[in-house]
Amino acid sequence: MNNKVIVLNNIVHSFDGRQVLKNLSFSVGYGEKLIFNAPSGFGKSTIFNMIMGYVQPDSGSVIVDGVEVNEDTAKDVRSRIAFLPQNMALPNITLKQFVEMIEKFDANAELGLDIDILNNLFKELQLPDDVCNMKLSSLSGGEKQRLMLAIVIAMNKKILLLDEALSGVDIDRAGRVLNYLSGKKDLSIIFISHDARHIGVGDFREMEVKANGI
Amino acid sequence: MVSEQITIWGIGILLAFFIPIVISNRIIGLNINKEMIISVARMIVQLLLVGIYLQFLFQWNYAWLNILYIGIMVIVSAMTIIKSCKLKKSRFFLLLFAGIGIPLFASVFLLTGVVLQIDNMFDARYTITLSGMLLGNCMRSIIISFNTFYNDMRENEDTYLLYLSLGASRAQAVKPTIIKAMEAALKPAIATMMTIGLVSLPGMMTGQMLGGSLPLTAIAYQIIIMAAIFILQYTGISVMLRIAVNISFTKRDMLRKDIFAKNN
Repeated sequence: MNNKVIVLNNIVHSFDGRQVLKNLSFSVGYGEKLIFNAPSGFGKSTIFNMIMGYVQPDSGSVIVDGVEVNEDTAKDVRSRIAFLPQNMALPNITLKQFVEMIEKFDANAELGLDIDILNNLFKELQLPDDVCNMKLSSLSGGEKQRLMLAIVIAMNKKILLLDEALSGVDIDRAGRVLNYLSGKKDLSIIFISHDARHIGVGDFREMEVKANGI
Repeated sequence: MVSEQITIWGIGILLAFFIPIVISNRIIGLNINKEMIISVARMIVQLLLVGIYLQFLFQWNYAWLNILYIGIMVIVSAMTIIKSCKLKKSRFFLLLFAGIGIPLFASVFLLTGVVLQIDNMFDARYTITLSGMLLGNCMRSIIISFNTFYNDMRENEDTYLLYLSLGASRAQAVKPTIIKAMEAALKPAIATMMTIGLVSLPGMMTGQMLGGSLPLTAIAYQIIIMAAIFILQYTGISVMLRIAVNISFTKRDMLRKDIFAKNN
């Protein structure tokens, strides 16, 4: 288990009286990239919420980077993970102001987001040249998703959880993004996607998902 | 100056104008007659009862009775907020009672004791009327701020979780929602102050002048009332939103489901 960055053991969980996860177990190795092509209603948000420490499973355990996730360790665990949701209502401020806001967050006291590194990432992810001066709310859904991806890559987190985080990106660009992410050997990724065209791109290992288990 | 007495006949003439409104509603198919008639009837009965009660209250003018009356008003406000925002009574009642009651008493003290310098700060004529005006406005802004806060938390949970994942503390991650809630609650009061006297004459001031007060006296009262209302609204929603943030999340930073009434 020591070479696993995320381990879920026999997770059972019910929500609103309905069992959404039944004996779910899987693990992700350090640097490994997984893609779930999950059916809707599978409970993907619940899995991510458990890894992030937001939700306690009814039974079973979640271990992230060697730490069992519980009420006391949740904040520490979160500091190692970047989570990008599908829908992001970003504030109506410029990228520069947004970066300053992130730098002021409690857990980022020692984080310095280098604007040159960010600019290079923006080029890699094919964002508009003047993105730094644009208001975030004026960006399209796909641009917002690629911009946030660039920011979290620059934050040097160990683990990246992507919940439909390329749903607004056209398939060619999404392919380039996935290939780029495959090159980040130290980064472990779980990517949930409903788009079958994302499967088989880059080094992402497909994980078959069945209802109530894997 | 003495105000003209309003006769029952006079009130009746005005209410008679509701008859053509009812007929018009029927003709055009505007289905509000039942609600409208009930609301007018309730208004008359409620105001009559409160009028009779206040008459006695003003006459007796016992400080303890006046404080008790204000306490009951605070309880009704807290219950109204709980019902309007579909919150769980057991979790919110005492917090709302204290969160509204304490700033309200402080505001009334500020007005009667410091600004108006009345000898008996629990004089029914001042304390009860001022409390009623302050409380009604404070209650409305807390309802707006709570509804905005909880609706935004539910609609934009993804963004809240994104901020937490980017390193924000819970207080930092909810800050945009708190700002939205405060803006929504305070903007109507700011808009009212912006146009007061130009677009409309406020009800209290008009009532005072109809009751025989000089315009300048009525205006002075209106200014202190508007300022006190805004101060109490600001204090009330700041305190209550802070309390809401403290009690509405699990230790794992997720919005609790058990703070809402079951039918929500």
